[in-house]
Amino acid sequence: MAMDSTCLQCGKPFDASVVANRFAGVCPSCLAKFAADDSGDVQPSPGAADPTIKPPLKLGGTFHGLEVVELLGAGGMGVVYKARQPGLDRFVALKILSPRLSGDPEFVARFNREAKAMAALSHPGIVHIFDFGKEADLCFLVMEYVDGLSLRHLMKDRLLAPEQALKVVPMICEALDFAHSKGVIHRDIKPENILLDKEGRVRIADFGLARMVSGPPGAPTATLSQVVMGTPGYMAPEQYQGMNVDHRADIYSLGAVFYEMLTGQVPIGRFDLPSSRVQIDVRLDEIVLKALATEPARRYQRASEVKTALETVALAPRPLPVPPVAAAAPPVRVRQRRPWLIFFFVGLMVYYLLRRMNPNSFGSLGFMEFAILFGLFTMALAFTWRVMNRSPRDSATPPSEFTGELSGGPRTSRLAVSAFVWTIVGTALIAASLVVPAFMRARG
Amino acid sequence: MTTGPAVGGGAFQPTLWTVVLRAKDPADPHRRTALNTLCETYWAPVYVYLRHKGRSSEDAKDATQGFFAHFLELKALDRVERGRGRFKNFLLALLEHYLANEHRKANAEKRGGGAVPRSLDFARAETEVRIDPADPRTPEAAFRRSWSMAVLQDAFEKLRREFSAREAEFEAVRIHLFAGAQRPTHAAIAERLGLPLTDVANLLHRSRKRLREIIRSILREAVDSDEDLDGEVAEFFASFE
Repeated sequence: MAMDSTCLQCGKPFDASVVANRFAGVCPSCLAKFAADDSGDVQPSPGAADPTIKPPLKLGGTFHGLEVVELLGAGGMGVVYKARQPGLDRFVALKILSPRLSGDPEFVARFNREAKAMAALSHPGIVHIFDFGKEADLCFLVMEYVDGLSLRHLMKDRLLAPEQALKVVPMICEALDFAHSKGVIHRDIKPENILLDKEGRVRIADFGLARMVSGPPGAPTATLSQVVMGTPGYMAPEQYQGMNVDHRADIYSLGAVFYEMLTGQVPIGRFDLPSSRVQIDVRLDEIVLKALATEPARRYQRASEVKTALETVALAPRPLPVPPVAAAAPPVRVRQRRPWLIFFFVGLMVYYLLRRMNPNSFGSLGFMEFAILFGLFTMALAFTWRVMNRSPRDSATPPSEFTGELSGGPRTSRLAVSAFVWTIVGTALIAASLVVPAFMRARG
Repeated sequence: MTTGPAVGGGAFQPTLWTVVLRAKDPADPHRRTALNTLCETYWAPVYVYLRHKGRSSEDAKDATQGFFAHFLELKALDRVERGRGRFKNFLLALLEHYLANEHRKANAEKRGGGAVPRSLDFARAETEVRIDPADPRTPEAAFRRSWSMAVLQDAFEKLRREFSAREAEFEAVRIHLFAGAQRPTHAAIAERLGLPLTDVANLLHRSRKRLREIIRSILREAVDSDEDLDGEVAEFFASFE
């Protein structure tokens, strides 16, 4: 017998296993509304995550003996504050779960059980839970305050350099492996949940929170503990299909985060090999792909194996392959621009020299007309030059398939043809502009 | 992804009345497959109805099997003619008729001569069909609601198949409507899929339009006339309110 969950988008209950199996994780009510709605695609503004969640606490007030200092963020599950613990004079993170959840007795029972398991996880790579409970009808968690940024923030500003990713991922592996060895699965590993403190150490937040919201662990209604609760893009296939989920789902999510750190993209659908997007050791491709295997059995079976594999790569560095064009953007740009300038200035010099030697050598053609024609010619030549020098894996070509097959061929040849045509046209125009006036003069 | 009732798989996608009318034509090579497919897609309302009638899970499964076997015998379709009304009402009437006669027939096993649909996926019945004993809905209302759900699922499957070549489009819809998450901004979807922001708005708009068209086309097949269609469409959307 399946049980209900609540759609966090429309707030209606849905039979979670129906949604997982038949609707690919989509809420049927939302889907019907989506199809019915003519009013266009309304999207929430980034700040207001959920209109039903009003910040429950006032800044400057107290809650559970804590001074509420600052609102750190709001999400689907609740609101996080920075708070001060006066006795110990330290900052803590105070997470207030959504009042809607706190009103559900089943959830509260689950919350107490899971929070206990989370509080038992003591590891330097995991955000520690100091306290939890229910006060003023609000479920709350008091957690270690991490002074730093999430991976999401770091990635938003710029790509993390691959070397940094290689430092961060092993730390995530250690923390995950520890939690897995204690029988705790995170279920919602994503860049938002991975924090880096000022020393560059990783802290994973919100362990087990996904499970808390989605269902009881090991309850006879196994369907529910298998139910989807994660983030599309980082969720393992078995997770969004509502199948049995174990710690290997976290390994998939880890692979997805790793992929995004390397490439800036989430591996959805067909995706490129990381090495085809950035200049990295090709052995990293294998590690990422293995973590992202669809079949859990084909993945790394433990997070520690990912770490070992990365260490092997780090210990025996191989010379990097010839950099793909996309990765080496600045030098390529210079090479692409140079022919324009060279052709143009050489052309201008030749023009002035000729004009000085024999002012009538261009017939009746004015300076402007000539300049335009000449510009056309140089553009065509430069274009040809650029196409000939272009690697088929240039970023302008559509992403090649997962199999690594090059898909740049047809596009490149199309560009070459058009460049060739323009060269001919430009040359013909210039030739005509020189020959025709001379011919006219000869007749006249 | 869904291992359940895969419909046809390819160009041949039967719908409701077309299938039933076709099934009466012995010359049509697809008639059997089409009926089977239809049963596989729309068995859930029948099962839900029976459960709401107070039958046990096992009993309801048997009766659903029996009903569809009867349905596939085609005799039930003899009286189906043009001017036939709404398909769901037809199915419900047929079901009630079947149940009334059921007890008179001694040997349920003999019916259908083994022509029971390949995969009425009862293994999933109890997990997929939510039966709440305290549900105040009448069996008929439960039937209609489950019917709408089956239509929606059918439409969603069709959309997914249409988008099979353009995965990003389907993914955008999926992320946009994902049940266990806050509605993401278009910017967040664009970022996840690696698409330009403007593309996401377009994709969603196109998908929305297409999904509505598909639903209408399925429902059009389930009613008599265009006048009926509007009522059916309104009823369909209302059942998700």
